[in-house]
Amino acid sequence: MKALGEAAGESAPAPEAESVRENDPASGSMESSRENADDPEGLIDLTSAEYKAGIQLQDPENELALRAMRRATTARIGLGRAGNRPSTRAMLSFRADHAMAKDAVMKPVDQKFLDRMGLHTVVSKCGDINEHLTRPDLGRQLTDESIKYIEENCVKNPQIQIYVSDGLSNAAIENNAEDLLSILMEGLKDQGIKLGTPFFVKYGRVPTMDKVSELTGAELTCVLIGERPGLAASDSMSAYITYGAYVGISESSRTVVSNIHKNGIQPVEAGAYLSELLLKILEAKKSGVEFKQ
Amino acid sequence: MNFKGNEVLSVGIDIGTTTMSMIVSRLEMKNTAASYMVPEVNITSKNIIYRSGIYMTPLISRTMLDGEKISQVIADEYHKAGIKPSDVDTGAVIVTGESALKENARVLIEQLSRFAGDFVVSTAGPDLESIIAGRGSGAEEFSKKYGCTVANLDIGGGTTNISVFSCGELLGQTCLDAGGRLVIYDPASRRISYVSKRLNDAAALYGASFSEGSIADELTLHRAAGFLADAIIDSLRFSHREITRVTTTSGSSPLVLSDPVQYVSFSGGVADCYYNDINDVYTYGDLGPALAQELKKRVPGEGFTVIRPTETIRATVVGAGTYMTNVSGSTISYNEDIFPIKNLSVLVVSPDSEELLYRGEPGKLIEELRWYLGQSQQDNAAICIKGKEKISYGELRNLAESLLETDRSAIDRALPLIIICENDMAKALGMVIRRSAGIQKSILCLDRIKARSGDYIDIGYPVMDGIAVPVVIKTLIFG
Amino acid sequence: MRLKSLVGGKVYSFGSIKEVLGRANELKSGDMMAGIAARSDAERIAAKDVLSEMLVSDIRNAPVVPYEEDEVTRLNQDGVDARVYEKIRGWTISDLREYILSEKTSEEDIKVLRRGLTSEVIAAVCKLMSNLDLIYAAKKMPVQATCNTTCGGTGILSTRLQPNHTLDGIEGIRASTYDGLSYGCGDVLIGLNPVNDSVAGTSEVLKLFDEIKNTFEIPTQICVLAHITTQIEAVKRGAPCDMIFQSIAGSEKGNSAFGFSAETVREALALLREKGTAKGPNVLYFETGQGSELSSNAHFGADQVTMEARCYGFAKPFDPFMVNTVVGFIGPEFLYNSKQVIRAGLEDHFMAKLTGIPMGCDCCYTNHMDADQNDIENLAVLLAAAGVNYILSVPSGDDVMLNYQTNSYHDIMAVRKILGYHPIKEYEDWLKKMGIVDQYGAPTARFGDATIFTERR
Repeated sequence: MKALGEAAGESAPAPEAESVRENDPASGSMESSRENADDPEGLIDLTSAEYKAGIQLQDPENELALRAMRRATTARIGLGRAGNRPSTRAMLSFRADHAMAKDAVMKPVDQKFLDRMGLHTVVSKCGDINEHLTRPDLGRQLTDESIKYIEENCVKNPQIQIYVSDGLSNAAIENNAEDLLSILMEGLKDQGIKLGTPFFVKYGRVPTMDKVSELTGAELTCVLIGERPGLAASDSMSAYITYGAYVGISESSRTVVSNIHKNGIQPVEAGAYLSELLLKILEAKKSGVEFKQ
Repeated sequence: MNFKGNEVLSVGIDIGTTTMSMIVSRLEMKNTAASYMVPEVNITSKNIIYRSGIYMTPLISRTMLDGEKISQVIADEYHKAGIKPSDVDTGAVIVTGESALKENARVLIEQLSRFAGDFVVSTAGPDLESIIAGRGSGAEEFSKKYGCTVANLDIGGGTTNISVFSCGELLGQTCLDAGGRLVIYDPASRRISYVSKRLNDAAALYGASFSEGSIADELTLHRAAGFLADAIIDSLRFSHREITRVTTTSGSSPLVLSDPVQYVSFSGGVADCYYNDINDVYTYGDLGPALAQELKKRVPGEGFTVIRPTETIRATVVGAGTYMTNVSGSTISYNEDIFPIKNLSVLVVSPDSEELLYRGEPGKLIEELRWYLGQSQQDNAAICIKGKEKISYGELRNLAESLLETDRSAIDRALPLIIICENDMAKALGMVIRRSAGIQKSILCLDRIKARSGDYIDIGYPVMDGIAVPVVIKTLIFG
Repeated sequence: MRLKSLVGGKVYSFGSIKEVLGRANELKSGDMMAGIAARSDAERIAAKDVLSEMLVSDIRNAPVVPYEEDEVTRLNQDGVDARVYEKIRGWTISDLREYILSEKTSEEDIKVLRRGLTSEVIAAVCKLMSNLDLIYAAKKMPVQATCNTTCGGTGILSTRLQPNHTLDGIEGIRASTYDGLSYGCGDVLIGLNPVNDSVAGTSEVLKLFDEIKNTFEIPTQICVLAHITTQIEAVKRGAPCDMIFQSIAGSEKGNSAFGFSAETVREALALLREKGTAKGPNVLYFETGQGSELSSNAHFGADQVTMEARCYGFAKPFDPFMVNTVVGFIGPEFLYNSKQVIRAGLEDHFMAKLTGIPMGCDCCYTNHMDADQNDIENLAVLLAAAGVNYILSVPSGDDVMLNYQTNSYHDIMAVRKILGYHPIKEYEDWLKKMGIVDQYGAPTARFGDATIFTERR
C-alpha cells in the first residue's frame, strides 16, 4: 500500500476537461477507441492465472513459505488485505470468476458447436432457463416432440447409448464434449459395440437419462453433462453412467466420472478412461455402488 | 498377468567409500482421487521396517570392492530382516564415493542382483545421490515444515553430496570430491598411506601438496581439511571460485540457486564427527574429524543456521530405499509381459520436433532418434515428450501416427514402443496408438513422469490391479 | 378453528393446518415446486391471518408427520414440558408472537417458554414474523454451549474455519488453515468437508488438525465432516476428535436417506464421551438446510420452513455444540434468489434459537442462483445483528472443493468490528499471544499472514 501523499503524487486524477473530451462522441477520440475495442494488447485477463498470481500479500514474515502454501492449494490464500477487507484486485478477480460461472449457467450452448458435432437438439419440459433452474422435476422429462424424434430417428436397442446435455454449464459442453465424444465413440466402435445415435438434450438433468434409456432401449446409458460451475472451473463436465436405467431408478445405481476439464482430467484422457469403464460396466451388467470402479 | 497389490517392498543398499548399510521399507500406494474421478495412484506412505547395522565397506584394494564379502553381508541382513529375494519389488543399490570405486561396481551389481528378485537394480549418479541423501536425511521435510531453504551436506569418505530444498521442493544439487578419506594414515604411526589426487589438485591452488609416506601431523590434517571445507562453503555461496571447479565431481556441476541457503544440515559419516564433537583428529586415521572441525570454524561467519537432520549416517540408504521409486498411473497402456524393463535410455524430444508431431510430421524425430540410437549404441529408447494440458482429438491422432511412423522407421518391430509424457494423457495416446499398431506390438505409455536427457529408466511390474507401474529414474549407469 | 380469511374482497379458504402452514410461508421456489406455496400474495396473507388465530394446541396436535411413524415427531413431542405447555396451549400464534416480541418478556422467560413448544409451533410463529422481527426476537434468546470452549456468549461472534481442498491434500489443507487462523478465524471450529468419505482420509485430516491445535495451543474445536458412521469408525480406531458431525433432516425418512437414525447419533455421543478429545459436554455438530427433505421426497407434503424447524427439534435432545443451516447451498429449486436465501437464513436462526439450539449459519450461494457475494455479506451482518453464534469462513469466500461461495476470512473481523463483537475469550487471548491482534484486539502487521505459523518454535 502506498502512503497517501505518494499515491496522490503518482496517480493524480486526470483533469476534468480531458475526461469529458474523451467521452464526447463528436471529438473523434471515441471513434479510435471503438476501432480498438476488441484489441487485447497490453491487457491481462482478470480470470487468468497470471492475474491471480499477482495478487499476493506484501512483506510476509516468510516469503518462501507463502509461495509454497499457494502452490499447495487452489484456494485463494495469502492474498493480503485492505484493512479487514480484500484488496481491490482480489475483489475484482473474485467477481470476474463469478461472472464467468454465471455465464456458464445462463447462456445456451453455441449452436455452431452442436452443428459441427452433428448433434440434433431435443429438449426437456422446461420452457426456459429459469424453469430449468427451478424445476428439476420438469428437466427430467422430455417434450412429446422430443420423444417422437428419438423414437423415429435413433438406433433402437443399442448396447451403449451416449448423449450430451447442458445440465448446469454450457461452457463444460463447448470446451470438452467434442474431443471426449470422438475418442470414446471410436474406441467403442473398435470393440464392435452397437452404439446408439448421439444427440443433445437442452435443459437436461442427470435423471433425464432414465427416460432416454427407456426410449432407446439401451442396455447402458451414458450422459456427458455440465456440472454446477465453481469459481475455479466453470467448465467442469461429468459422465453419468447407468446400466439398465429406467425412470425412477435410484441415484446410487449411477457410476460417475467427474472433474473433466483442462485443469482436471483432460477430455481425451477421460474419453480413453471411459471407453474402458463402459466396457467393464457392460460386462458386469451393473453400475453405481454395486459396481466397483 | 499377475498384478501386485497396493504395497511394494523396497530395499535400499548404500555402498560407500567407508561404510555400507541396508534398509527395508514398505511403500504403500493408493488411489488418491475421489471415487467419482479418474483414478490417480500415488505413493502415500513409506515405512522403514528394517535397518541394518553400519558395516565397514569390504574392499580388496583401495579401488576394488570385495563383491563376495559384500554379498555375504547383504545375505546375512536379508536373513535378519526376515525377507527373501522374491519378496522384494523395487529398490536401489547405490555405490557412492570416489569414482575409482565405481569401476567395478557393475560386477558388484550383478553379484547383488540375486538378492533383488524381480526388483529393479539401479545405481544413481553424483547428482541423484545428493538428492537422495537430502531426502533421506529429512532436510527436505524440514524445509517444508518451516518454509525455508535447507542445504543438506552428505559428507562421506570420498564425496560431499549437496542438495538444497526450499519449502519441500528441490532447488538444486551438486557433488564435490571432498570427503573424510581423501587422506588415509596409520592411526598409530600416523604415516600417510594414501592421498587422493583430487585433494592435491585443490591443494595445488594454494601452492601446497600432500604426499604418501609422510607423517600426518595436526597442522597437515587441518590444512588439507581446510581446503576441502573451503570448497564446500564456496559451493554453498555459489561463488564458484577455482577451488569449486577443481573439486566438483565429474558428471556434476556447481550449484546455482534462486534463493540463498538459510539452514545447513550434515549427514554421512563426517556428520557424526560434526555433531558429536570428536576432538582427537587422529581417531579414524583419516581427515573426518579435522574436516568437521574446519567446517565448524567456517560456518558461523556464513549466516547459515546449522540444524541436525533426522538421519545422519543412514541418510543415503534411507533415501535409496524410500525415495527412488515413483509410480506412474493410473493411465498406462501396455499389452505384453515386458516387465521389468531395466536401464532404458531416454530420448527427450525437442520442443520443435514435438510440435511437428501434433501436425503429423515425424521426420525430424526420426532423424533425432536414429542419431541418438547410433550414438548411444542402443536398440531402443524411451521417447519422452511434454504433451499438452488439453490436446484435441485431431492432434492426438496425428501424434499417435507420427510416433508409430517413428517406431517403424527407427526401432526394431520386436521391441516395445515406450512413450513417456509429462502431462496426463498417456491412456488416450496409448489407446489411439494401439488402434493403428495392431495387436502384436507392445506399447507402453506412461505419464506424470519427468525425465531429462541422459536419464535412464527402470520400470517394474504393474501394481494396483495393473493401473500403475513403479518407475525408477536415474542419471547414470555403468559401462 | 377458522380456516378461511377475507382479503381485498376475496375469500381464501384452506383444507388443513398443513396447507395453511405451507401457504403462509414467504415465497420460496421449493414450496412452489412442491405445489404448496401460496398462489398469490393475497392468499399468503390470508393464510398468515388464519394461522395467527390458531391455538398452540391446534398446531401441537397436528404434527406434519404422524407420531406413530416418525421418530423425529416422537422425540419432539415427548420432549414437551407438560406444565409449561398447559399455560400456553390456549394462546393463539399471534399471542405467542407478541409475547416473544414484548419488552416485558425476558431471556429467562423464553428459556421457560421454549420447553412448551413443538417444532410446528415454532415454525408457525416464524411465519408471522417479518425479517426485522426475526432479528429482534432472536437477539434476545442467546444459546450457549461448551465443547473445549464456550460459544454463544454475549458480545461474541465466532466462526468456523473451513479449509477445504480439492484433493484432501494435507499440505493444502494446512495452508488454508494457517491462512484462516491468521485472520482470527476458527474460534468455534476448524472443520473440513472431505472429498473422500473414508476412515483413513478422515483420520489423516483429524490428526493434522490435532497437531495444529496442540502445536500452537489453540483453544478451539476440530472436526472432519465425513458421514457419521465414517467418523465413528475413525474415532474407534483412535483418531483424535472433538466433535462428530452429521447432516440432519426433519423426518425419520429424510434422516434415513442420509444413512443414519437417532440411534446412530446416540452411539456417536456415547463414543465421544468415552474416547473423544474434547471436554464437553456438548460434542455434536449438525447441519441443516431448507429443502433437503423435499429433495429426498421425505417432506410429507409439508413446507420447507416447518420441516427445517423439525430438524432443530430432532437436534435438541442431543445437546449439540453447534448447528448451522447451509442456507444457500441447495440451489435455486429451493431458494431461488438472494431475497429467499436471506429470509431463510433469518428464519432458520430464529427458529433454532427459539428451540434452544446454539445456532450458526453458512451464509452461502451457488453459481446457479440469482445471488452474489454482496447478498451474503448482507446476510452475515443481519445475522450478526441477530446474535448468531457463528458464521462460516473460507479463503476469500471461494470454496474450491464444494464449488460454492460463503463468507471470506476477511469478513469475520470486519463484522465483529462493525457490530462490536469479539471472538471467544480464550481464542482472542490466543490471537494476542500469537501477535495477530494487539492488546486491544486490533489487527497487527501479522494479521492475515499465514506464514507466521512456519516460525521455528
